[in-house]
Amino acid sequence: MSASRKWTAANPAVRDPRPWAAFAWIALLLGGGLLVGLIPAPAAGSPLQPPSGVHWLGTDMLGRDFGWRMIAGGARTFLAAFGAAAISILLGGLWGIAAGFAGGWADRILSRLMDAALAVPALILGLVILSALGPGEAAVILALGLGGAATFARLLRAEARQIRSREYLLAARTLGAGKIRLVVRHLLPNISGSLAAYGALHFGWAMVNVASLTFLGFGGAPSVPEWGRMLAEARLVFGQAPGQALAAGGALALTVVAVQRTGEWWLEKNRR
Amino acid sequence: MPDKKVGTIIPMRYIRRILENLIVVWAVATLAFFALRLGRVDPLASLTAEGLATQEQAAEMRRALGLDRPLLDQYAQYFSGVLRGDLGRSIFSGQDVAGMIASAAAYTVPLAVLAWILSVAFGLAIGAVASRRDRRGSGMGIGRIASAALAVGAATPVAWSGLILLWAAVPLFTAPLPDPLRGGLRLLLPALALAWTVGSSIGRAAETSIRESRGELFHLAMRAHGFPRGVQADWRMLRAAMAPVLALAGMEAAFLLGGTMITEVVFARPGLGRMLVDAALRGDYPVVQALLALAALGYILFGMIADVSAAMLDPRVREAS
Repeated sequence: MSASRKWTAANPAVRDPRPWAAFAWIALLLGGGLLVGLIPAPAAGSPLQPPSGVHWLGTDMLGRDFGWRMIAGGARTFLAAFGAAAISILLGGLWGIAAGFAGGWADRILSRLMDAALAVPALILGLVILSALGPGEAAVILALGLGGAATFARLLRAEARQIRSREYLLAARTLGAGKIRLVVRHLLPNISGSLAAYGALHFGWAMVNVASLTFLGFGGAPSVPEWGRMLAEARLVFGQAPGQALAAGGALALTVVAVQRTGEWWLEKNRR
Repeated sequence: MPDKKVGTIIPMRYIRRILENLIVVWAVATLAFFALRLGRVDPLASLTAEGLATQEQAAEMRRALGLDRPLLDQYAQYFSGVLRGDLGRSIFSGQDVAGMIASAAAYTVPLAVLAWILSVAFGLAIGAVASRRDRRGSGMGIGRIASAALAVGAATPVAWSGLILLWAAVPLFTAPLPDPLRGGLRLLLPALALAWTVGSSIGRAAETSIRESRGELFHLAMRAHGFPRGVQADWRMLRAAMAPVLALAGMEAAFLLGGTMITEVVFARPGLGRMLVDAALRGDYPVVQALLALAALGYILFGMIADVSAAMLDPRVREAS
């Protein structure tokens, strides 16, 4: 290896321990959401109560238990972001691998489409897709999933092209392996590590944007707890109960950091 | 000489790129045109739902606007208008879209410019500090704190940072301030909210990039020549590490339109972002199309500016191209 390679190996992230705090936060969020899903929402009381024995974190502007909604909403936002990221990865993966492996004019057309999609900020692209789909939680997930797909397509196209020129792929082709076999047996195992890591980084993006779109009022029914919408509601009563807005936004930021931290750790681990 | 060669090659390359990019903008506008019209949000249904028109009036408007005609007809009409510089009229207000954009831009452009300047300044300063994070990744040095602050900042939704800034600024608003100062505050607060998130992502890019350029041979050579590890060396590192940071800063400049969507709602400011949110919610096709094309144009323009400045700052980029 060259000298410069040796120097970058001193990158501190390589020696980072496992991000236990991040794992714990994510486990707590999902476990809590599961638990809260099993018990019904506590009965609504009068609005904006301070924390008490009945409502541990007080009540929101409509008298609903704030703690219950925080926990239930967290899992919901998390799953919505997960869905959006999964759509981006699957669709972008197919798009990018097809472009990178096909080459020629098919690659040119698919790459131009990537350029067009990447030329618009993904949140704005999501918003426009949303304005075609109409509001709703599933539409938000789909819109952000489609909006973020091009990012992955470009990433995977680069990976596919790089791996396509490797000797082992040439060897497999010489032995008569078809394109599907090349992708499934040779390409995917080689990029799965970086794919998962970039997926985690992308997940953070999706989570912030799910919350942004529901904050703007594009989400589902108002009764359904969800962090972005809760932030929008808490904003209306910010003068009386600033803690609620701080909690909803802060928990969101912490979750995004936790997932991205996990992704970075995984990326460094796979890069070695 | 190399310089002369650069002078003759760059214009051709950029002319080609501009042409290619115009095709991209056209593709974006075309995709938006069809996606919106084939979608489920009907502007005239929103109009009747809001009680702004009766069913009959809506039907008549649909005919007057040509929304009942075949899609390809509408498309031909729209684009012949665009080529003549006519972006159409808003379905809701009936105003000229170009005029609407111009008056909203008067609010958004100062906000975006200030936010971008603050973002780059914060990002570079904090990123440079964070890049000095202890190599073994332990301890709570100032570098680690800066690094963690950038990670949290980049994950903060603008809706939240804006709210916190508003909260912190309440005493300032109630204090007796001269009017120009108050007006400045109205611009500074949303700009800070945007710069909080955008500056953090620029800072993270700067952090990684500066740290990586510390691993390069030229840095070893500089140290061998006796450069101190302090501020002076940092500035040199920064220059070498600017290319990816600039690329991101250029992209973020265009993405600020996305950020202003939230900021303008939180701070109750008029502007392009709010215009887009309102138009998208109600299905105001001409407005959404024009803003989308504008976003694409901005992205391409800022991307090219970033490329040119990266080549000016870093000789390696010049040689590679």
